[in-house]
Amino acid sequence: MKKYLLFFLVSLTACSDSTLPRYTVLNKLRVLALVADIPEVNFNGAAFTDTITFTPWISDLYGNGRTLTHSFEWCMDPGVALGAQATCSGNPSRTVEFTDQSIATTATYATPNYTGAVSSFSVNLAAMNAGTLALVQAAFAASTAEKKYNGLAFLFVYTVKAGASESVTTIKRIVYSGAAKATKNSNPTTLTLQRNGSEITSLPQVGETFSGVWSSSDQENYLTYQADGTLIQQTEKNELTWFISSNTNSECDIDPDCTTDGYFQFLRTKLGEGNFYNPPGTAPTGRKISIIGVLRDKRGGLQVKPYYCAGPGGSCAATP
Amino acid sequence: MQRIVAAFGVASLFIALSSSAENTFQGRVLTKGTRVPLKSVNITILPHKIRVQTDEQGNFKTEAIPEGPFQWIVNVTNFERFEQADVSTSEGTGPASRTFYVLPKQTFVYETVVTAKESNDDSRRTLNVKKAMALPGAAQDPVRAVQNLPGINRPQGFSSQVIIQGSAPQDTRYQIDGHEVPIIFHFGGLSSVVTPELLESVDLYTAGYQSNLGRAMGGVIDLQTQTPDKERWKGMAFVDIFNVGAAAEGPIDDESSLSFGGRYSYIGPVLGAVAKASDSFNLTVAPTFSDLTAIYARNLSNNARFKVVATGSRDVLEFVTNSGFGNDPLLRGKFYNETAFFRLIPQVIWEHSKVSESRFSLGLGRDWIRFEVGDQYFSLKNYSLTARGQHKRELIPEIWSSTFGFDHRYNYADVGIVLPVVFSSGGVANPLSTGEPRRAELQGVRNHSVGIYWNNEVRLGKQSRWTIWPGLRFDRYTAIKKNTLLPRLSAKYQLRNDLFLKAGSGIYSQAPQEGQVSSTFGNPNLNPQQSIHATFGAEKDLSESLGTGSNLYSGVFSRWFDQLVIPNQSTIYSNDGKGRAYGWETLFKWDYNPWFSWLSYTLSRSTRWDPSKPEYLYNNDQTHIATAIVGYQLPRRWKISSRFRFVSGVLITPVLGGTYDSDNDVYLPIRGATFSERQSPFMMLDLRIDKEWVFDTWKMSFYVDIQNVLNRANVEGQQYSFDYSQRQDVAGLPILPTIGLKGEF
Repeated sequence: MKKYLLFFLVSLTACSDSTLPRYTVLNKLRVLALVADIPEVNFNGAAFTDTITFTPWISDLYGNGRTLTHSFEWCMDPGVALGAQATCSGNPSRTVEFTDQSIATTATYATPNYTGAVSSFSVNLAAMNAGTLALVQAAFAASTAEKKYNGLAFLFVYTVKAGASESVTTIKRIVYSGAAKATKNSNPTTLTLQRNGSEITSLPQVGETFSGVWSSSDQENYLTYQADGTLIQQTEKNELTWFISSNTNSECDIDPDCTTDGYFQFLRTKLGEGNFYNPPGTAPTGRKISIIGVLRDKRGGLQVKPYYCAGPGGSCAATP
Repeated sequence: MQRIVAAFGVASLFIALSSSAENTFQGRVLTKGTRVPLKSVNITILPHKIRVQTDEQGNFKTEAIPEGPFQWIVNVTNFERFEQADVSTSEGTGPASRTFYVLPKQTFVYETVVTAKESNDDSRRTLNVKKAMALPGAAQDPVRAVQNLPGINRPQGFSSQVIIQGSAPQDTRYQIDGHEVPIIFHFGGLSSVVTPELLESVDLYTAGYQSNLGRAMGGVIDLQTQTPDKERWKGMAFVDIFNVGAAAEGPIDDESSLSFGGRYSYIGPVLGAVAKASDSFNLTVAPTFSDLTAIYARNLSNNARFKVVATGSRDVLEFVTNSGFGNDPLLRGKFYNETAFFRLIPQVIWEHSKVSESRFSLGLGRDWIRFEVGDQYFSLKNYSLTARGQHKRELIPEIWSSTFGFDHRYNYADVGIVLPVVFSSGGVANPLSTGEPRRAELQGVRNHSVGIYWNNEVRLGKQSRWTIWPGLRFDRYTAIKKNTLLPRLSAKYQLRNDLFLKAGSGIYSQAPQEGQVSSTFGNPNLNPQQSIHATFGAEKDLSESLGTGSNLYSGVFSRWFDQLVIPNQSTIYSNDGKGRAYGWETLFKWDYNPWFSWLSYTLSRSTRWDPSKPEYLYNNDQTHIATAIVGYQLPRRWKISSRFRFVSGVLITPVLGGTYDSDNDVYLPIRGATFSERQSPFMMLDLRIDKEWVFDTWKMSFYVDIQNVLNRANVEGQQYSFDYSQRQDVAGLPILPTIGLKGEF
């Protein structure tokens, strides 16, 4: 670990100026989040009762409205956290929901901003095919009490393609846990991005500190089953990622000092932390500045809050 | 007129009487600058052709010297001729006192390598500390000079570890006087953890080392501390752009002596000044290190000696990144790393008779290791007790001597861990955010390792050219409840007076790392890792043909690794890894004053394989490792020397792209073939200039040690874009001049 620390230190000091793309600047095909309305489902050992609805949030600002296709499949988690490849290929529980379907545009993901939620799709776990269900039942039955309580997971694999050469593959895990765990995880719901203590309605013309605000109740308390059979209570520490559109699809990728649609000081913030926003000198032509906040509870729970703003001093709204 | 004649006559008589008067002198002859007495030195007094000799303390006393002017002449081998005019008079009541400081000739000090003369372990190479300190690129640190030896690799990424002959960095064990310590270098390998002036030698044990050492498949680096000077007090102080330090040593009474020293580095503020001013990155305390060492030695009797070494070291690195890294949300906030240790090492040697000797030593101490990344941390507070003991006896004079010994290590630790278990393969780790979070607070974790060994030295007849060293070692690893029995055998054949052939082989074992056998973070059912070593080589003394100290060593080595610990998707770790490392290494040293040169070269190959991967080149496979050193001695005590190093680039696993993990807001790397891409070679030219001023009772030296004179951007790591679509190399240190000033008395 010390080696990595030194590596970071030296790379951050004089020896290496990073010219790599910045995470939160949107200027190429990106999936910002794959939101499931139910991040954790109940499993009684025999059957499921939930239908999960997934909503992808996509940005393809400089795609100029090109046709995007998407594919969706799922399987029992092969152990991605332990190093298994994040794929369902070859997995006996693999279930393909759809392949290379055109993505339907929506009110938010539309000309000219091309950044927002696209049409949702659902997976009815209750209608799982018998072979897959048998595998799930067997895995659950063979699990320890710790695993049954804390949950096993399905791996959902979502791939977006723009033509033959450009694609982004996204994974999401949905935990299924036993009935002993009475309170399942849920998505945060109260996120707003604020300036001056109020939700954003316009952008400043000069630099100003923004903040992501959410109710402390969005940071749920939850119980974790320990190997020794005890339960410990923990509290979620939600974290907010700040995405912002870019005014170019090339140079800004590699030049951290170039002009964008404004830039935020930090990639991510926690509850109570501010994030300084430096607006651009002028508004972008023919489109709005997209600011997308993605709040994660780090257990699969997500909330996405978009703002579309008409340049410095201009108004902002939750829809384009 | 008669009065005048009478007066002249009286005056003449007086003068005559005066000129026949005489005087005696006494004094000392000392080495200029260091005040070391010169014993058995002839002093000539001209024109009287009187000759006296100094005693053991450098003292002398003359016979009566006729009154009048005369000249002292001191002529000693390896010293400048000393001449001093003087006058003998009859005035005074006793012998006149004189002290002469004789200037030693300037010689090159690079006789650094002694190959296994005392321990008879032919795998050992010893660097003489005081001489190795002056090597270019060593920046006054002899332990860093280890990398000049053949077979020694340097890992990528600012690591301070040492890789021996194609093994893994963690396969090298570090010791002080035979007792294990957690680190041997401060941060980044910039300097070692013990004040160099308090070291006697640096011993490097490579493939085929004997059974008195163990628990390391790669090799052992052992720092041997000095015995403080019993003759006189002396000391030194130095300052350079990274460190300041001082040391002193001397006698306490006739039977005991003391030395102490320490260093403090201010590299943190230097780096902090270099670091960019940034709102998102604050170098709060970063990085600093310090070390202190004290040694007390005492003769308990004519045949028993006692020494105790107290040494401690502390490294702290802390910085804050408020913005974090796009590659990993967990890498945000406070970064803190502290590594500190303290050891008290009492040692006793009894020479029972000419054929029997016992040694016993303890290592009592504590280790503190703390590592924090944001909310994650690893904390270790460890009490360490190590013990070594051996009894050596010559069973058949000049034929067979035998040594029984033990080597024990006991740890009692409190461990706190809040870290995810992160998958890593081929040197590419998944982001911390994607790991399974684990938490453990463990109090009083005990870990024993016990080694018992039997070493023998056998000559096949009093006139035989053969000497063999059969040995056997037993190791018990209590953490995993496993034992290993390890036979070892080495041999030497004297082909001619100046030519030796050497060979060695043996089995070596090593416990998995402690985290790997943790029930929370690893697999407690792991076995010890094992390795078989085999070496063969020849050493020729070239002193007669090329000058004193010139020699050539050339040999081959091979290592087979088995039961290596590798990541496993179901058990976290397993013993399914295997490997091999083999190569040819040579060291040529030519010492022809005022020139000195050194050339070491290693050609090697290191591979690994496991059930899921066919044989592949290991990332520390470095085909060519070459070091060339040339030095030249200039007039007026100037020296100039240079070192050039070439090492084949390390191998990395290319990352082909990334898969977005929507839950953790991070991309998972998609790995290509394991260690299939070789980085550009490491090349570095270092230059060193020394100047010394010698005064009667002290001396001062100044040096400029410029590392990476060519300012080559050697690749030390890779940075990836957040989605692994782009990669950027991280360069190592740029041209780095170190200017130092050192005073000694």
